[in-house]
Amino acid sequence: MLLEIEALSIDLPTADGLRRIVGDASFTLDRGQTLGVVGESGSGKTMTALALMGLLPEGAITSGAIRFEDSDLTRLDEERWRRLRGDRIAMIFQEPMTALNPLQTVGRQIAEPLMLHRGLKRGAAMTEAVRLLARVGLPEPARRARAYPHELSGGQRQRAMIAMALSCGPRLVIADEPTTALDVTVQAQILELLAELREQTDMALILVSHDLAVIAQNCERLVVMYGGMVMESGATRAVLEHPAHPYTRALLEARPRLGRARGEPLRTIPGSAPSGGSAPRGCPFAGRCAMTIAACYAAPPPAIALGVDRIARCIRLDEAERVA
Amino acid sequence: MALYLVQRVILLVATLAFASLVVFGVLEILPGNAAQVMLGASATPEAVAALAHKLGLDQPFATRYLTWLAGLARGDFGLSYAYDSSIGALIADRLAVSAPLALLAMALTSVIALSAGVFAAERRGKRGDFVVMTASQIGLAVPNFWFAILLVLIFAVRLHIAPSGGFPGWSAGLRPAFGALILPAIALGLVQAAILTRVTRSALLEVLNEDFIRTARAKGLTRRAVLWRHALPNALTPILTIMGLQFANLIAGAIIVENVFTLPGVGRLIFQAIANRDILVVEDCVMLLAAIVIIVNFVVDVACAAIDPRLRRRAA
Amino acid sequence: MTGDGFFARAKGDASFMLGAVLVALVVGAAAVSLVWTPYPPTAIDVPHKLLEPSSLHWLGTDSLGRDVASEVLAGARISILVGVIAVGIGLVFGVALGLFAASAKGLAEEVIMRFSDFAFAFPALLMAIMLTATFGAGVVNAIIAIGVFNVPLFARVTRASANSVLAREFILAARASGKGPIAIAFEHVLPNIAPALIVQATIQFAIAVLAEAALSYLGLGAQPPQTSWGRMLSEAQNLMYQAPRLAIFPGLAIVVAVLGLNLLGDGLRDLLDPRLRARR
Repeated sequence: MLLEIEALSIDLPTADGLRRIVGDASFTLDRGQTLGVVGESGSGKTMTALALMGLLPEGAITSGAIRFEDSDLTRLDEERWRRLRGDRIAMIFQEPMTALNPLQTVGRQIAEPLMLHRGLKRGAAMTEAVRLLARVGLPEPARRARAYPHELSGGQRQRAMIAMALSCGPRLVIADEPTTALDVTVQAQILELLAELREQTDMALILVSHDLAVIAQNCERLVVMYGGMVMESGATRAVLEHPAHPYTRALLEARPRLGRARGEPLRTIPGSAPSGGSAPRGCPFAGRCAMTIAACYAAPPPAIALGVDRIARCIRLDEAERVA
Repeated sequence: MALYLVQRVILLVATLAFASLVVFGVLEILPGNAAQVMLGASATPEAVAALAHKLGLDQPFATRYLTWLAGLARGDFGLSYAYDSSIGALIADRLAVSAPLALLAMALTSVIALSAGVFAAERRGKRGDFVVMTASQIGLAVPNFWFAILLVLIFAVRLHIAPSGGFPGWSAGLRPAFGALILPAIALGLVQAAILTRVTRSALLEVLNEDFIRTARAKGLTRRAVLWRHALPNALTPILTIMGLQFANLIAGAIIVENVFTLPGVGRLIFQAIANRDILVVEDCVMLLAAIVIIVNFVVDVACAAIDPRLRRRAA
Repeated sequence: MTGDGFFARAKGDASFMLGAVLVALVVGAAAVSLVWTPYPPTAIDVPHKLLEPSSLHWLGTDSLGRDVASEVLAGARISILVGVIAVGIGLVFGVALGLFAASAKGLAEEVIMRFSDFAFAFPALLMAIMLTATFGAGVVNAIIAIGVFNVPLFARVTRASANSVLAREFILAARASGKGPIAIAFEHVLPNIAPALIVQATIQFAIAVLAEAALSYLGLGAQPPQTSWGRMLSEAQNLMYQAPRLAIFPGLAIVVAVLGLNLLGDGLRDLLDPRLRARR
């Protein structure tokens, strides 16, 4: 097992004291696998991703375990974290516009982790950067390497970002909404590139997105998060074909699909997502769920195993099955 | 970059030309005949007319302005009526005091402000930040001439370890000369540093919130490397811009502080020239200081463009 | 944005409260000095010169036997007068220019902003020294000289905030309902940029107090027998060996006034403009 997250909880300090952002999240990832993390904004998916990089905001308190290649990341000191970052685990951020330093050439920024982790001299690192740019499909890579971020298009910048993440051959790449800021056609190209690169190497990929369609097309397994909790997880196909959790079902129904009968209304989920786990106890989805009963508010729902590698957190799974 | 430089140089020349017009124009509207004012009320009309002719005051405005400008361009600053000597030599003499003072003060400001600003930004919301911010808030409220007076009170009057004023001249040796400049430079520099510290802190805090800082951390850089390689260069353009604008304050502050310490600098020359109604000296000095400020700001603009490629493109 | 909660929130803002107290102290001193001072601030009493502080003369007397406490109280008047009028000049002309630039756009905006750029690059105090030297030393000329340099500053702040207001939807709605640019400027833009202007005015007030002190110190502002903190300092400087305390009190008074205004400005910025607060 490459990555094993066990009962991960994250609390962030706010003006009104600590606030639980992620609660009791567990999932695993194997070498070379792809895992999708889907959820609305505020579901805790980005914080989970940042926890894997050791880049949570200052003052954040984590509990539980993050086992990566047999060491528990939650116990690492800053120096060992630092040596892991950009080398064994790399991250691709959402905004290619702002995630690159505007004052440095793209090539120099790609060369930086190589000089840091591989000990390459500047010249050798720059040569490698050009090679990486070619690998992520940028035409005229030598010229692009000398360009500044503002001289590239959004898609080109995201390719550069990917080249930077891949530079040291990481075992795990976390992509946080990598295509959200891009045009639809460019989105598809970037996702295709990620899939291609993953096949060529044996890196594992965690794709974080609010877009179920993106996850469905690109990930073997998925994790559905809501209000800081993992609501359902399992093989993508199994989850999408037989969603167990009312939230997953609602998410699927809220998705526009081709072939929908004209005039048939798009189903929406009533209410709004809690921001940062404001539900004090109970199921975070209780306020918006069609099947809520009094017990839903009483305690957080336990994770119920539904066969191999499949769990869901809902105390009314049986009824949910029947309604479906 | 070449095109950008050409544009900036054209703008620089235009600004200098406009400044010269303002300086010359303002002093032209001096009430009363300048020659009469210089000679006093008891002077005979003949004497006034003779002086007016000697100074070229009987020429039309445009002629006098252009003659003055042409003189400046050649390095000929004209003759001082009160000192009866070449203004160029007079100013050069005074610059030997003012220029080192300004440079010393600016160096002090930069060192203090950059280190205090970085220190505070790194400790945002903690005790160190609070101390720096409180000190700078008080620094903002202290007039530089009062601070100068306090320094004299402490170091000259009480402790006798520094002169209370005056300047021995560079011929007296480097040590006594610098000794005479150190308190004035502290008075000027420390008060300026208060503003620049705040600018540095807020510029740095803004940059530290940027996404690319997180990217740099995700690469595995140390906090220190992120600060020096990614954060500071990005914070530098606003800091440099404010430093350029502050230079105008520094020059004005120097005029006052030179008076506190009776330093024979350009500021004091302006002052004496105003008292003597030595108009041409005032014009030349003010023009010189304005030109220095304008040129410093030009250099700052070019430096910012050298740091930030986006500025080069925006101008083109 | 000055909802009902303003005073409740103001109480929680340490910067605002401390600033308000210090400013109230200075304004109070000026107001009290109009009707009462321990001694007439300009009354010369040479036999009682350079007295140490005592119950008769709280802060002692100066080289001409004037009561320092009375002078410090009365000095607040000039500072406030200069501040109010110089900032007033800047507000009236600067806001008018800025609003004009923002609504006129194009060449007019470019010209006005170029001028204000130029004024920024010019040492303001140097210009004030020149102006007072040219037109004669005195409080009135000092006020005008300081005020003139507030104009481009307020013009710039006004234009920047007005442009962001003008870009909002409700301006379009007002225009669609047939309102002219002047009506829009007064009914919609001005109330919306008022918070930014109030904050800037407070800061400029502090700068005006400093500038007046500097000009008076140089002998270009307040003239004898007018009492001014800056002038007191220039007189004290000649007596640094005999009576160093004379150089302390007027300086402290300036610091209290300027610190109070700056803190008040910072506090007001936090209270009036949540967008600015978020950026800090």
